[in-house]
Amino acid sequence: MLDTKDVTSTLRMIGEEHLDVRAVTMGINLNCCSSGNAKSMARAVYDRICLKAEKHVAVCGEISSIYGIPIVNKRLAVSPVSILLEGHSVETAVAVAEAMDKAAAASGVDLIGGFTALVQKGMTQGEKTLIDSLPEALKATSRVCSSINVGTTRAGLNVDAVRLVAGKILETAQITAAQRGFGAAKLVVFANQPEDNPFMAGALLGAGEPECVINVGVSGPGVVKRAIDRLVSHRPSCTLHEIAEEVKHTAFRVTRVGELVGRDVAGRLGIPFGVVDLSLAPTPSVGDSVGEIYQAMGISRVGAPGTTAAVMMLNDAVKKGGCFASSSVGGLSGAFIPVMEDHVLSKAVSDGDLSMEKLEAMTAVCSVGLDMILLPGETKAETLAGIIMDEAAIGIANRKTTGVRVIPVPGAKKGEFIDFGGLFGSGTVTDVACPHGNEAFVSHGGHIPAPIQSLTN
Amino acid sequence: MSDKNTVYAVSVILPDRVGILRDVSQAVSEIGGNLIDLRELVVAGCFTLTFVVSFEAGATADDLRTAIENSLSGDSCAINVLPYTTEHAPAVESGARYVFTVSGPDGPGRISEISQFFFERGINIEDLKSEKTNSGTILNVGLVTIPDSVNLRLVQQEFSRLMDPIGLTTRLLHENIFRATNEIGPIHALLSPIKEENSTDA
Repeated sequence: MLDTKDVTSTLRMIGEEHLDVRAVTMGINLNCCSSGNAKSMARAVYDRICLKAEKHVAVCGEISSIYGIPIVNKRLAVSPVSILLEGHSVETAVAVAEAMDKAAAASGVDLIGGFTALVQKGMTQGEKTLIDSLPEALKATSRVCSSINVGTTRAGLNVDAVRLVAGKILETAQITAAQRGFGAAKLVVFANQPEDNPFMAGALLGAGEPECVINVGVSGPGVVKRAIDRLVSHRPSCTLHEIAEEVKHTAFRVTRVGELVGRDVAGRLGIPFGVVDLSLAPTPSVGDSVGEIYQAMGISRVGAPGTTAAVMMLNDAVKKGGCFASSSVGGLSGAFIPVMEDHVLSKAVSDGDLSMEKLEAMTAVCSVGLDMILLPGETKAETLAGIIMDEAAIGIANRKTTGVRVIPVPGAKKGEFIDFGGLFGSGTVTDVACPHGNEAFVSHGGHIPAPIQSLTN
Repeated sequence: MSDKNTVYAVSVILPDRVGILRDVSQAVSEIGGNLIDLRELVVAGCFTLTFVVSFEAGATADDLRTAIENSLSGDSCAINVLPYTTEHAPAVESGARYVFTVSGPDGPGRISEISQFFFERGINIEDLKSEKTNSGTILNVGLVTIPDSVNLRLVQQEFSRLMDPIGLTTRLLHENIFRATNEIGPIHALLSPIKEENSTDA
């Protein structure tokens, strides 16, 4: 018989501390749908997704009942769509996106990722077609998410791709102006994009992955926060080392839940289990915030000096606990800081405590980058390109994933409040401290070489 | 001494003190008994011991009872000795093990209602604990085997519907969620029995 304390502590995590599985994402390879005929290809994409994902949502519901763990999002991620678009037009790209959107709706999932191009070293015609189609594709669909990988540690940074994508982010925001530029919230630009990421907007089924696979993204910021609260209330003099230990042990339990759910879903669907992504992913709800963890650690105003150290400590402790819990760790695996999706971070930006520059520093020590940040509508493409280049440089130089998901809200000025609703949350428009002065640098274009991997001092 | 290869199920209840297990196990050993399964529990100061013992050379139930009584001669105790065969093992349908919890205000008949609920659905209660919490409420934690033929979601809903009106909160979850969060063994080792049981689902 299980110990009563163990039973009650698990129930407390589930019932009071928002322990859930953030995403169970099915990866589906679409390469077999390739065709010279645009209509046939779109139909094949729809059919294949519907066939593979037919039972995905139902099985997740079954597992959720058995274990009592909410599975917040059931999602799909496909192989990079740009592979299908070689020899095709922008119209075909939009048609494929629409087929993905309809298939996602038919499968009962809220989002589908993989409208993706990997262009870190160069760009094929199909990849350029996909990027050119982004404004129309993201306007025409509600469930499709896109990601573009512009750099890797091995390849360096494709600045031409950055400039192209920066322009498309602006176009996407403008073409979805009626939704305050929401289209851009479904587009992320990466450096070192992982092949097995279950989280949106960057989920995809990358090269080297199985034909169909289940990847799981755990959550649990509320559980970690409450664990620190308990420790600090019992022992106010506890050291940061002790707090790190508490986080590590809590992350172990959270990760185990993710693997249990993922393996059971995969087993019942008869497909392989891939990875648990250890990222602590917040939601806009109070009690489900990564920012609240920093506050529990003693950073009462997120953005104050020490915040970056707190982020590093949390990120590291989560990885240590998670890696002991599971040998199947992958994806992004780190603490997210998506500003709009976390009420503490969002308020810190509104209050002026948390600047773009501080966020950038934080992304150097955690997952995953400048995420869900509202920018003024008048932001220039060169400024966006510079933001992407800086963030990519952090990832490339530090051999880690970084990303940029910013929304230049058409017509909005710094300080304006925007609410997307649901998991996308709300926030205040912010800006970089110095939005101009990089034009000549960016316009050189070309390619920033891969960084040296020795002489690391 | 009479029958060969006899097996008995025995329960012993008495006020707790140091050395009860030593006394009983020595008495059983001295007449040739081999303990093959045993549980000891102290409930509200009352020592309870349940065990199954086999005798290769045979022993009567009276021999066994007398030996235990003599070992506890200074205590006021209750001893039951039941001849045991595999036919005594309850016919329980195969299924998955679930943990249920019922928490809330105490009152007469709680355990009776819980056990009646599971009995009506052919669900075997394998273990049950009832404890008073620091806040004065009662927490019941039990382990049940739910046959594969039973609709889990329906049982969860009905259990909740039965207990909610009397202010009790219920949970009925697969034991693996508790083992996963409190043990360190590999997850796939927890799941492999489930796969075997639900092979048609895979």
